[in-house]
Amino acid sequence: MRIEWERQGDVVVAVLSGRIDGGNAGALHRRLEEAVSPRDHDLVLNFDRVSFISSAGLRVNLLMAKQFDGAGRKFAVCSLSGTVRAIFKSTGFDRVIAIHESQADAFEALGNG
Amino acid sequence: MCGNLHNRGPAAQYVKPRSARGFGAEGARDRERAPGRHGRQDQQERSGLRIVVKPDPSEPRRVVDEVERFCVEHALSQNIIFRFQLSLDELLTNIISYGFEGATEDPVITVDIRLGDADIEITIRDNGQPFNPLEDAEIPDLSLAAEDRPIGGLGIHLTKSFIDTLAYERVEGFNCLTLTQPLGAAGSEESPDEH
Repeated sequence: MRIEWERQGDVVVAVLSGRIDGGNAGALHRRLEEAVSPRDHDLVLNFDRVSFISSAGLRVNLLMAKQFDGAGRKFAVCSLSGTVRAIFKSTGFDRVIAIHESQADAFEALGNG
Repeated sequence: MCGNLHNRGPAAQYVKPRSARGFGAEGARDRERAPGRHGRQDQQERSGLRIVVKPDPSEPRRVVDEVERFCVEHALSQNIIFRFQLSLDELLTNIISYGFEGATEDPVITVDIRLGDADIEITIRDNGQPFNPLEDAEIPDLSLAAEDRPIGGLGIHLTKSFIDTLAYERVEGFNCLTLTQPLGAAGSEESPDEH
């Protein structure tokens, strides 16, 4: 999976590409943990180029949300496609994870607009 | 559904010779529809594919790719492709990760696609521990806040949410789970959470 990084103030955005499934979710989790610490940053995952996410990928979102919430930081996702949004909705993740329409919206909501 | 357990072939063997191969130089794409509609022997099936799956964590992705290719070759909708991508990744990952814990027999896992005139059926068979995902899987509490949620248990829920019909049998030492999706009016992606 390709990850491109963007930063604005304290907010780090990971722009993800491709599929997040049982085969690569563990690696994604490790790479996010290595690159971003909730001591220093808020984290946004940009799903604009993600076609598909399975429950293994949702687990990564949940782990990051717990980690960042626990540290008093913010975790959010943005730019979900229709199918990814449907998966978030079906599992109730749309109620426990902040979802923003666009990366600009996410920056604004996290106080760095 | 689960009757041809002893008819296992090598990886990606085609069940029916008329099915589209998509790789060869024979213009396979043109062959499957006409015989399926006229003078067919069976009532339902117009094309099929069997995929033999190794008990390896990289396999769900390969199977999902093969199923996608089959669906594209037969001009099925993105909506149907997405539903099977999701459910096959979930179910195969479960089987490969947990299905053979403590098992003594060599793992055998197959995925069979059957394309009929009105629907598409995919059957997953494995000789792992008996597991009926329709009854044995824990039902996740979707109302919990992030910090209270357990890390897991969502895969079967997603499968049930996005596949119209699921049927499970245990036959001759095999778990057999059949997923059926109508070809025409697939349900809306946006309202999958009524289940």
